[in-house]
Amino acid sequence: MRNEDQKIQEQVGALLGSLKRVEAPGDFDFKVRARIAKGRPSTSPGSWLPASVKLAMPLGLMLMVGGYFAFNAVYSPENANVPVVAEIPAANPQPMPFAPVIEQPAVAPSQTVAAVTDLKSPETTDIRRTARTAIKRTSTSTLSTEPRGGSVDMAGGEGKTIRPAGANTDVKSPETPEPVSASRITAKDALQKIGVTATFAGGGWKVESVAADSTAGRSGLKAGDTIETLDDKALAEKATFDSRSSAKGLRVRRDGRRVIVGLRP
Amino acid sequence: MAFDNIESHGAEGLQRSMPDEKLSDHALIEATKGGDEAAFGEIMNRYRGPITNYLYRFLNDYEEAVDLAQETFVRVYFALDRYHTQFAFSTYIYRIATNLAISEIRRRKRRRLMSLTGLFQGEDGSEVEFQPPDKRQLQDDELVEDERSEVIGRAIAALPEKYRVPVVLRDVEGKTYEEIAEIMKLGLGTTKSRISRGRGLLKEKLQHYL
Repeated sequence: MRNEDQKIQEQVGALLGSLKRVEAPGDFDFKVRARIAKGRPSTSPGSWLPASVKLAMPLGLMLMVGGYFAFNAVYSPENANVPVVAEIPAANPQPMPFAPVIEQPAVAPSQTVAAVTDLKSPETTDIRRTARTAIKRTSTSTLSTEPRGGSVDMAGGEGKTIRPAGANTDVKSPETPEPVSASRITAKDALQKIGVTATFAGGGWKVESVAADSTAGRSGLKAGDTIETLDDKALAEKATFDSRSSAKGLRVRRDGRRVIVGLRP
Repeated sequence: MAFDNIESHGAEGLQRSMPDEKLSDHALIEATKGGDEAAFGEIMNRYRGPITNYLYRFLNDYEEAVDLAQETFVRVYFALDRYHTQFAFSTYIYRIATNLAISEIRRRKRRRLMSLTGLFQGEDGSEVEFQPPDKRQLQDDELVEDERSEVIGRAIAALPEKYRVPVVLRDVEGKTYEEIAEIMKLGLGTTKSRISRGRGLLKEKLQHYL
């Protein structure tokens, strides 16, 4: 049996060996040289990746890189840690010692607060500096229970409310009035100096009237506003101010919203 | 190594490098690496026939065989720097030709998915030619020989490639088992087993000629 199988194997081998051999055509060498002169073969014999994988690999790489930049653009550290803070509820009237809210008055665009529109004026610069300082302070404050984050709106977008991080509204203003001296004036006098007639009520000074041709009038203060701070200082009923200093900004409560009003001399 | 001017000085260069005895393949390779284009011409002269015949029996398509044989030499030329002379050059060039032929067969299989011939496939996916019996009266011996050669060629081409490569190398090209094992990067036992199995498959198809 084994011999017979061996014999068949040899017969098959002999049959294949008896096949007529073919020769290469006459222009074989010429065509090989032509191909060599043309350059390297475009495909390698050992390429084992399917075409779909060859296409998918660079595509996937591009998607990963694009996704990385897109993720960074959407969730950048500034965007992630500084949410847009909602307006402070009017039910919490306590003044903020050093964290102002800057808001453009939505009522009359022509009376746009100088802090927003006139970016080159000295008053505006002061307010911006104050706001930046407030942001720096509040960013390290541990007293705050409010959501952190915020920024200062320099573009003057209408109706946008931007508030620094950690604005603390719970800190009480000093209740004890400073001693009145010859160079100091009361809050009521200080307000009158800028053209405001107001009475203290409900944690602030309620504006009864504003002289049209006065600093407050030119700056857009209105009757009905409640003044909470003057130059970042809480306007308690017994608060006093240096009579030689000139007021630069007010924080008022208007229609349930807090507004910073830069004072125009 | 440009081939632009090989025709003008190739023959003379070859005579200078091979005055009397026949240079070994390795010597020709080294000469080609050194810029002797005539040496590469001699390599082609030695192997173009065997490689073309091998590929023809493997693919059963002369035009394709010639094309792949030319491609084999192109690849050899561009890979000369990577060729190590501890291996036989004949083994090296047959391995390149085999890889090209296998790639071609696989490409054909993909193309065949869209053709009717795909209906006639063996259990392992290899092509099985549809061969209706030819009952016409034979004309003369030459026609008989042509017919026999054609049938054997188709029978070889119908073998799965893992059997076809060693059978063609052994029975058509006359390579030793050791050379075949090296070309296919297989063990000697596996190589012999595949040759035996391939011959067994051919015996069933070529019973009439045995």
